[in-house]
Amino acid sequence: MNPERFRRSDERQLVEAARAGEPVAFELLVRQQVDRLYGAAWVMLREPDLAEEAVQQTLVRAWRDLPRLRDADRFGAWLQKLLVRACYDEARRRRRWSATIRLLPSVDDPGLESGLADREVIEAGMRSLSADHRIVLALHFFLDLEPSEIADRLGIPPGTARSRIHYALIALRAAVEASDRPGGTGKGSVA
Amino acid sequence: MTDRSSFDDPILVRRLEDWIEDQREVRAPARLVDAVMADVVAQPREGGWAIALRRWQGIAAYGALTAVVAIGVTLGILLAQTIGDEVGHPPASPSLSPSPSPSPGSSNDLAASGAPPVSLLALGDVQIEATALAAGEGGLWVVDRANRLVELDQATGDERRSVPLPRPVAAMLVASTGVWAASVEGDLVRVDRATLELTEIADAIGGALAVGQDARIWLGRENGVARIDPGSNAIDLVVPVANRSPDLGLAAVDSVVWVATRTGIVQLDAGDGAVVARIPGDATALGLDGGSLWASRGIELLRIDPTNATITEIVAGIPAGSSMAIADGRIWVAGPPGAASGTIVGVDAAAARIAFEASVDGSIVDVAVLGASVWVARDEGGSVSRFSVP
Repeated sequence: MNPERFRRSDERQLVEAARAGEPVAFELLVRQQVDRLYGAAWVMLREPDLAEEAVQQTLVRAWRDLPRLRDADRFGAWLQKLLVRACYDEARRRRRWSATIRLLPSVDDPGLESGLADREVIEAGMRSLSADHRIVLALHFFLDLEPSEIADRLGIPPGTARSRIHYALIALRAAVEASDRPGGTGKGSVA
Repeated sequence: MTDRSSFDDPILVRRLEDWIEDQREVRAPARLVDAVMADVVAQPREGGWAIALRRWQGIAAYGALTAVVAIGVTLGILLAQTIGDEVGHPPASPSLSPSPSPSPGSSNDLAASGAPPVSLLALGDVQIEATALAAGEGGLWVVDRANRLVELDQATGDERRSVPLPRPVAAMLVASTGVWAASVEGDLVRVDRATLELTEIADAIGGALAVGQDARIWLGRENGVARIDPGSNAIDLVVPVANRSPDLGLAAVDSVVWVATRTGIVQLDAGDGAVVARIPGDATALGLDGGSLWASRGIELLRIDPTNATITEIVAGIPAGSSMAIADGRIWVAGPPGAASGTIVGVDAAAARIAFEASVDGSIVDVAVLGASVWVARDEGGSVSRFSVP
């Protein structure tokens, strides 16, 4: 199959071609989406191997189930649903695995120190969250979805989505405050 | 741009957004696309003509099946006129994959023989965008996206009555004391089944419900549960339970309450809320059947002996993150939420194996059982689908 045939196709045309069984069209869709999906999975799972596995599962499942997608314009949203499902699967599979995060001692440059330490504090806080909370924060802050869209991706009522974001931020704040206290260390487990 | 102004900690949000910006620099490993495409090439799909042909074959088979079902329904009507039984309406959803009902008693034979699950027979769809579904006390109740509580006629699927609720519903329970609708955005609402009069329970915000001893209602909250006295319409006991999301399951019977958390199932004394036992392992939905507690954990359904808090059976292959409904020795689980397709499985409690199954397009929001029918609320297309239990 000649990939040039699809070079000028928009996403909808690619989805329709992939749905009809064209692997080349599907590969172009994969290349368009893979970084964003991987980034979201990375935020949700905080582990590169798990993120890679989740994205692979998502895309292979998408290829398999694409003929059942009725509305080609919903492809992106549908992929996000599949990604959430795959991330839950990965989080469950590795739930017993845990990691302890300890903040590094301070460095010499105060400005750099403050920026790096702040990111490490958030990193440790994210790792301490449950998979539910990490996933909802990834959908809202990384994929920029509104609560109603998050509700769609998670299959929950919009009110529950709003509440879950709220509680996730409360949990993150608690973890960050623990780390911000003098002598505090970030510590958490990956669900 | 997503509106995050409603959160009350802008400094935390800004720190999180800075951290998220760093994550946007992350790129997928180059090998990932190659690995995906290797899997894709290894499982080639048929093209458009083949898919269309397969669909037409399916429709033809469905038509033949519909004729068989129509004959069966006609016989059923005649039988119902004789014995006053309930009669379902004909199949209406071509996305379902029904199969003829087995003869009475054959499901147990299949369960004992280890035969594949029997496909549930689709009886039709009710067009309503349901966010919650519950059955009990002879009635079937739905909350729709407009936050209306609607009673459906279980024979025709028609709306019988409705009443607007003040907010979105996260969980619903039908009990002798009324229909209870919990929300994570505001107080629990009790609806009188006769008059549809609403009563709000103060300070009762939550996402899961169960009815226990003395008809008291248990409400699952963030990091805790609360007990509501239906006599006073007030909370009379609050029990902190760590690691809980509001929507994780609850189950109650006699003097005990089980509470699902992200780290295990906690057994409480229903009288004073004292912790009696802990069962390790996370669970999402809980339910009781006879002397057993059933818990969904990922793709596994666990049977737990409540007398010694041990797992006695594990049934694999259920949809993850499922909703659960239990009736007549069968545990019905449906889900997963947010998936491209949904699955309903019926587990035979005696044999501890999946005895029935069906699949639908779009994710499943909730499941309920009433009489000889299983009802599922579906995300895609906004419908409630009804299946006959063989």
